[in-house]
Amino acid sequence: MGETENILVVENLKKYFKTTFGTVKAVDDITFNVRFGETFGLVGESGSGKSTTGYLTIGIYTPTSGKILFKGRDISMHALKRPKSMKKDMSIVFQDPASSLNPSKTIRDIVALPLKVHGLINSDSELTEKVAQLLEAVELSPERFMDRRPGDLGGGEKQATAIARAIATNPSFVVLDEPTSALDVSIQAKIIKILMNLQQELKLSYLFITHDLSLMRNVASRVAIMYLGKIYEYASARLFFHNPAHPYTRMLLSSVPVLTDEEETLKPKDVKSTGEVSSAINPPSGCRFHPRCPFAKTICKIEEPEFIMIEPEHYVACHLYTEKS
Amino acid sequence: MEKIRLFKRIKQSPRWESFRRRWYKFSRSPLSIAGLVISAACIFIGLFAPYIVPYPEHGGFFSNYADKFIPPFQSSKYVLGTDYYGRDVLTRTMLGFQYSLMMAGVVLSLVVAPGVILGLIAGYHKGTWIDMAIMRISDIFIAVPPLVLALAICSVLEPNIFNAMMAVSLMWWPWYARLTFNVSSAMRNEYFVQATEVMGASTFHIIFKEILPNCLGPILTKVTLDVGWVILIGSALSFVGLGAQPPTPDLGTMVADGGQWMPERWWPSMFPASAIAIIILGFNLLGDGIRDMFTE
Amino acid sequence: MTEQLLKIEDLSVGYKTYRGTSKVLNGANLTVNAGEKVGIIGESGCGKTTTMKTILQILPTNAVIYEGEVHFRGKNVLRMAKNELNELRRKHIAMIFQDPTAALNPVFNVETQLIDIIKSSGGHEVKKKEEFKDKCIGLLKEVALSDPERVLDSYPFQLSGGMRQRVCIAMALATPRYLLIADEPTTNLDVTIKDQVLRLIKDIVENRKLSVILISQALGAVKGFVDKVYVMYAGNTVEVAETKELFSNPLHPYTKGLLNSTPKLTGGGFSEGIQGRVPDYINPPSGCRFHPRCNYILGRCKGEKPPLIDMGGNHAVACWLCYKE
Repeated sequence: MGETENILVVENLKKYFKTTFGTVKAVDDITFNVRFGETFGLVGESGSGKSTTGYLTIGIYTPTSGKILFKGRDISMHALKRPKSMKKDMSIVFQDPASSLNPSKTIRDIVALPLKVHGLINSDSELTEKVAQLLEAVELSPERFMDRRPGDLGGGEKQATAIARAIATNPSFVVLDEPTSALDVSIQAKIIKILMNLQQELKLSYLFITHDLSLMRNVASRVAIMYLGKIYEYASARLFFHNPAHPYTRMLLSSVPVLTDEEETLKPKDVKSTGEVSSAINPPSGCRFHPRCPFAKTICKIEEPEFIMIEPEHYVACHLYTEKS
Repeated sequence: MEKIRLFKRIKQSPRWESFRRRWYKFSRSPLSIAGLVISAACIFIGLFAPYIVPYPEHGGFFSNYADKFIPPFQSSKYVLGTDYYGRDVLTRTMLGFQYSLMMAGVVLSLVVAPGVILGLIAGYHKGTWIDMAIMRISDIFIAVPPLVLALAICSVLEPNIFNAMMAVSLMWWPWYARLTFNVSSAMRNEYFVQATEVMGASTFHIIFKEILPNCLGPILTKVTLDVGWVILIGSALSFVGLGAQPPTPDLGTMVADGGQWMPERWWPSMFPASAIAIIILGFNLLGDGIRDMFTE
Repeated sequence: MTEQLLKIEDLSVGYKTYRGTSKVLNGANLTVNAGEKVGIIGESGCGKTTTMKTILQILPTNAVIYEGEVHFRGKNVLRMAKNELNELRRKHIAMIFQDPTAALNPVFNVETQLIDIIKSSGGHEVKKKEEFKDKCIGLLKEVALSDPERVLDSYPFQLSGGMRQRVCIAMALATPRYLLIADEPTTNLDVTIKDQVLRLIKDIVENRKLSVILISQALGAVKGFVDKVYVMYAGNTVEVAETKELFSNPLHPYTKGLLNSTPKLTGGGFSEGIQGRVPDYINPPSGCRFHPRCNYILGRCKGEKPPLIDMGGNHAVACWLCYKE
């Protein structure tokens, strides 16, 4: 794992929230890395900690412990403490397009803000030109949209604006937190296409967070699955979907609604979804998935499984596999 | 040609669009329109009273005992009658508008800006000592009953209309701090604020350029409703003798003066009292309408 | 037993706004027979919720019904008297909404709300208080809620999203009904819970031989569930066919675009989506409302609105491309 290969390295990252009900262990000791130019997918359901991981990376939360390294530099702190020059190198696109844009501002002001904050462009007319360029890159016609307010735009257009704002300072890394979950299917395809094109043109690396497995299959090069704050499997996309190892991965895949028969054959048949996600305040002991796992053994309740490699580019943390190896 | 083009451009700008949408919501309710008309009339009278009243000199030291206590609606010379000193009640009431609205104007100009700024700062730093410091201090002011505080201040200082305004201002600012705190602290965790923080924008920018524009709705509504409240409190102070002193034609003072001749000679009291009620009604209805404008 | 339960013909509904009237529904058609499961696919803003609200007459005050008829069991709903409407809502049709949190009253516990529904829908044989509670427990068991006693005592905020939706399903099916309308019942739920809830609705519906209208944007969810599918766009019914037929042989360009835009679990990248955006209902496009976004447009499409053309085998399309003299 050479340092020049990875744009982002996360080591033993933990984030605990103290609430009146107890300590929520949102992210509990995860380790992964994102390579230059790749799309790394983080998949999971609610309570898995995937969004929290994205927010930790970008600095919205301060890690409770653990390290985050961006291009080799330690950035395990809140955004307000990070050096300003770093902030223009990474950005985030949020899940809800409506609340990620200030309703009282025009699209021009919203997209121009990062440029102004970092002092990249100072003259007003140059700013307008650059904003027009950015809007065109996300397929929004500047004449129509520059002076509109977010309330006048549809969901897809708002998200496109959020993307334009995210790439304004020419970052090298973008966190995408469920960027299309709130959008219609036909718009989703358009936005994803825009994201993929931008990745090629601007040589971006993405941390792509979503719960939609069909979407993930088509965007990510490597995928990690999270459950109750821990990563239980990660692999290259092809191996993850064609040879899912962890029972939770298999359960999730079996629940995906699909249209064609060939997709149907890809879905695991041995696991059907049961039960609900437990509370993150008192997560189950040992392997957190054991209450819902049809293959749970005694050891699963006691000991947390370690990661083992079951084939190149495929790691899983599950007691079913530690014995076999 | 230029003018038409400029007009067309304004018509299509997003500001006009939001104004149109807001006006539509406002105009749905006939009561709001009524409020707008009444408030506008009150402001008009307040601004131009000295020029439109029939007997401007009756506003100061004046006596004409020959014409005293003429009942209202009987003589075309004194439409609303005269008081003990023979002064025209209509004139003095209209002049009273001026003092009432002046009080509202001065107090609110002094109070809104500091209150809102403190509320914004406290809201952005919710949960920290800054929030505690600002909001607990404003809680102290709020805890004292408003009239009591104003009375206390005015009785220590010389009773005049200026000091009454200062007293009311001192106990009015915390309400704006609290309102702005509530609105801005809720907004603080919205994605668009997080996005600007992560971007590296300065705290000043976030508070005043991102959060503040979205708080204007509730603040504007409160300002409008407060016109009525400030006038009421101010009149109450004058009523007990701590505000404007006679012969100043302040509405509260007039109600107090005329009180001793009630109920046979009701008109020197009742017309100023009705004027207070009408001003408050007008601004309340207008305030409701403005609240509707900013509600989705 | 092909008694026609619900028939909507040429329904046109609009809303009054500050900019004019937005004519959302422009001749929508729908037929549901007794015991039939019907799906409606369409993206946000296409008028599916407006149609459902018209059936139950729960449209907002600024709605205007221009023309069209809604017949339920032979009677015209649009002309029903107040007491007939009450009977319709309490005894004949049940509805499950998209957001279970918003559908439940936060200040009453589950037991109170369930009993409320049972009492007001009449037709129950229960007389004593204890019998009510037993009936409630029975209902909660039917929707696969473990520990029904605890759920009955709980307030909605104490339950998870999946549990709330199950409570809503229990409420909808508390008393016998003819028709169940499910408006995106699983959109706000996690993937594995989505699967469970859909399976649950399917089981209950088949056990009780209910008629169902399932509205969803998730094409896969609809596919595994319904017999017949309607595709709606911009307030029109643009295609209707039996499920298998629709997914294997879509005829309308919009349906084709929609199916293309759905990402596949087997990979294969993304399509371009459907260009353009949902029309402005204040100034809707003339003729076929899809024509500005259509790649196969004919001259006729701009001027005349295509009717639903019968293509045989219960498959109808509203598209001039399929019209043969």
